[in-house]
Amino acid sequence: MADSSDAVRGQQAAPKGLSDGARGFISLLIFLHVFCLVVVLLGNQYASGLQMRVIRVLGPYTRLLYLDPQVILGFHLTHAMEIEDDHFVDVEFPGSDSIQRYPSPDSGLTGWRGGIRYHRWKMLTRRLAMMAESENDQYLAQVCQAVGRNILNDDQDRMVFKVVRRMPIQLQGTSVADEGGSEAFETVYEADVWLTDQGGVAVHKKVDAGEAAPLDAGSR
Amino acid sequence: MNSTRDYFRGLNEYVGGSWNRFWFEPSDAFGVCVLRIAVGLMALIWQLSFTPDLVNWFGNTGWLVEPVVGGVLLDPTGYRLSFLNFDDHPTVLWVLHVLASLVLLAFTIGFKARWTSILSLIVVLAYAHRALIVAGPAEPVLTMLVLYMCLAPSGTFLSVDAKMRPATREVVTFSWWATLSRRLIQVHLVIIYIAMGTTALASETWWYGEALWWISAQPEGRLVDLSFLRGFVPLLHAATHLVLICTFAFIIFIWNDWLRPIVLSASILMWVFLALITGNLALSAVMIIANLSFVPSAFWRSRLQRPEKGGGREAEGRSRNPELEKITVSNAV
Repeated sequence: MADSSDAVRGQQAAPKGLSDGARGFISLLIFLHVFCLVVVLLGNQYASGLQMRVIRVLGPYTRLLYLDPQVILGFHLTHAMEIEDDHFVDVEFPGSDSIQRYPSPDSGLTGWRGGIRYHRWKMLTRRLAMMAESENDQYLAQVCQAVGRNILNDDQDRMVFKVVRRMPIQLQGTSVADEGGSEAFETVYEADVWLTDQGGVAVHKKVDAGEAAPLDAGSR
Repeated sequence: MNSTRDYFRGLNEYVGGSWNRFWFEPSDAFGVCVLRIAVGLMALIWQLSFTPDLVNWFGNTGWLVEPVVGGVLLDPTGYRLSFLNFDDHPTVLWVLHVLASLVLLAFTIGFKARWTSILSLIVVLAYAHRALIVAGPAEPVLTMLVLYMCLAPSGTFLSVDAKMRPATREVVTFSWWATLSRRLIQVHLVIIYIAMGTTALASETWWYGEALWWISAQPEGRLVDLSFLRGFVPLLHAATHLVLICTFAFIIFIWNDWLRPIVLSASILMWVFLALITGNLALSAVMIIANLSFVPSAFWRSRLQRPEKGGGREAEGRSRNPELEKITVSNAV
């Protein structure tokens, strides 16, 4: 791979020295940089009130260089929470059997299972699931609008947007998740999305009947 | 009183001397040049992987419009500059995308490495900031590698710059910039390992030894099916504990010259194993590349550089760095 000429082309020179003043100044910069790293990286998942204030103060520097991406990254790989399960976005078209699934290694829309693309889609669906869990409907409606603008057209002016959770396989005994049938999937968010006459995109979240019109204990 | 003063004077000299040796002692730039190729190649693959989704995500009718990206941030005010935000017209996006690929390619092959390293940082940050919502743990590692490569004399060897260099021009083989760049990668990496280890310990699943099961129990993401481990639960627990042990051993023992090769090998094996069960090859790849910052330049020279006919030139730059002495001796031989 290497060419020996790399090493001998040109004459080797002595390394340039560094004055005490320059070394002191660079040392100070190094110290400040490492301090920023420690504060933002160790506060990525859990942070005290003080740490959050320091992170906010350091924000202009740390965010500019992506040292603090401002989203929870998951260096820990798993905490065995539901939110870390596999999630999908299913886009269904009424009157048609076709379903677009993101991510799906078989559809060709999101690349193969180990690819960078596939994992980007996984992160996106996981974040949507987080929003669904925290009932951030306004955010999910914005996502639905963006997807609607991307997918819908005059021929296909209506769709159903779903965020679906795939149950994990249990360690003890077998479960519905093992077989991978329809019971292994749970819809955590569902909305009707359609093009309006004015050319906009409307979103209507679907909820269970019990949630839409709850019955109190005294009613018949 | 004098003994106290002597103690603090001695402490000051010890800490100051250690600090200066750690950060500023000139070292062989060959190692950072090898890292440049690995980092550049990874950044290029990462950036090219946006190609099929470029307009679908970043276009004016894309999935990742500004409210969607900004909506997940803990603090929406921020400095997330990206040239992909300037214009979301598909043609403009494609032009920027091709130019960005060329910059990363130039950096990988070491063409005008000093400048293309800085441009590569701008490219990688632009994509990372724009695609923030779909970023995982691999992106912060990749951006930090590109960031620190900007400081390194990464075009000195194994590069187009080296091929084009006039024979009469002086080459600074040993540079404190190379040391600084490598040390920053090392320290940053260890802080990431600390974040990884301490956050894992905040969850009972790692203590119970079941974490690896829950990673591999996601049937849609994994590359290998480990569900047969149901019948070997102690093995599963041992593997989980081993990942944690590897993580904390790395933090502590990577700084020891004798233990470094063992810890480094174990860490690389751990990332290969995690790649199979998480399916996240990008994360494992960037972590392994970052791990390579601990491999001494002498190792790379012995593997990648063909012996010179008639012996090499002795390096003029003197240093207490054992790597330099080793290379000087081998060149003399």
